[in-house]
Amino acid sequence: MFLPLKNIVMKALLIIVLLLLSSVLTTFSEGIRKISKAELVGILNNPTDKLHVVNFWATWCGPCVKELPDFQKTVNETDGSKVEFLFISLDFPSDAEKKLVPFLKKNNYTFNVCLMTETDYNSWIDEVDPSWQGNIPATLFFNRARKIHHFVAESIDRPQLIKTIQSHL
Amino acid sequence: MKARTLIASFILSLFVFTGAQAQYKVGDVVSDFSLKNVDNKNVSLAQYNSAKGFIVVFTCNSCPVAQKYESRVVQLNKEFSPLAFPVIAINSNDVNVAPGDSFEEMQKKAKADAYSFPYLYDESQAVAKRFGATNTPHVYVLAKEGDKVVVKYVGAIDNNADDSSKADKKYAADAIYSILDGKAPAISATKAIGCGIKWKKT
Repeated sequence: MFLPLKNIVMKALLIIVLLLLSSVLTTFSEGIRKISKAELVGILNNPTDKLHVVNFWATWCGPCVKELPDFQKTVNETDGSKVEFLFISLDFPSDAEKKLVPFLKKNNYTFNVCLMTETDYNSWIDEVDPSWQGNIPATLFFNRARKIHHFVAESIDRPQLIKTIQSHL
Repeated sequence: MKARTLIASFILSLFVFTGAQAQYKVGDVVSDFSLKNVDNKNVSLAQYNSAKGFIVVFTCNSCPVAQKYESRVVQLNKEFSPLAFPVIAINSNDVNVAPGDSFEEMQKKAKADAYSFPYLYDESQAVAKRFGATNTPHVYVLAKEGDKVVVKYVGAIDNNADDSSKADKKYAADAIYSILDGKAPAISATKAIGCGIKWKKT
C-alpha cells in the first residue's frame, strides 16, 4: 500500500515539475508578445491623456530597421509617464522566432515590441489610418483625449521624431 | 470681372495640381504608357490588341514581400493570359535607394525566374505616380471597355503574404473572374502590408 502511494506522489510531482518547466520554456521560446487585431483596435482607441507613438515595422524592411536606433535613443530619453511607445512587428509569424527575437537581442533593443498575429492586413489597416496603403515604415502619433492623430507613412529621422513628439505634448 | 478671372485661374490651378498627382481609383480611365522591358524593347498597353484587360503589378527585386509573391505573379500570368488578361510587371524603385533594383538586376531576375510576362523599368517613376502605386507588390486589374482601359481592382493579390496556401481570399483572381462574367468585382479595393516604393530623394 505504501509503495504505490509513494509512486503516485512521485508521478504527480514529476508531472507538476514537467508542466512548470514546459510553461517556463514556452514563455521563453515565445518571448515576443503577440497582438491580435482586437487588441490593436483597443490600443488605438485608448482614451488616456497620453501621447502614444506606435511604429509599424518588420525585420525584413530595410528603412524600418534603419530608423530603429533613433527610436531606441528617443525612447530612452523620453518621459514614459507622458509618452508611450509601442513597436508593432509585421514580421511573418512563421519566422518571428527565427528572425525577430534574435534581431532584438543582437541590437539590445529594450523598447516595447509585439508581433501582429492578424495577417489578413486588409482587415485592420484602415483602423490605423484610412490614408495608409500598408507601406512600412509607418508611425502613428495619437492622444485621443486631446484629439491628436498624426500619421506618417514614411521613415522619420531623429530630429523629426523629437520635433513631432514635442509638438504633441 | 477680375474676381472671375481669379476664380477661374484658381480652379484651373486645382486641375493642374490634381492632374499631376493623379492616383487611379476603381472606375478611372488609365492613360497608356511606354516603358522599357528587360529585353530592351518598349511595351505599352496598346500593343495588346486581343487583350480584354491587364494585371498590372508594381513589384521589384529587393522587397521580401514582393519576393514572397513572385511565384504567385508567375502563376497569375499562367492562369489569366490565356483568358486575355496578361500580367505586366513594373519596377519603379529608385536604383540609388535600392541597388538591387537596377535594370541589369531586373534582367537577371526575369531570366532566372523565367518570367513569361514583361518586367518593365519605370526609371522616372512617372507611371507609379500616375497610378498612385505606393507598395510592392501593388496590383491594378484593368479591363478594356471599348477603346478605354478602366481600373477594376486595386490592392493585394490575396490575403496571406506569408503563405499562399493559407490565403482564402484571392482578390485579384476573383476580380478577373467577375469581370469575365460581366460583373463588377465584389471586392474592388484592398490594402496590404508591403515595402514602400523606393522614391527618388529630391
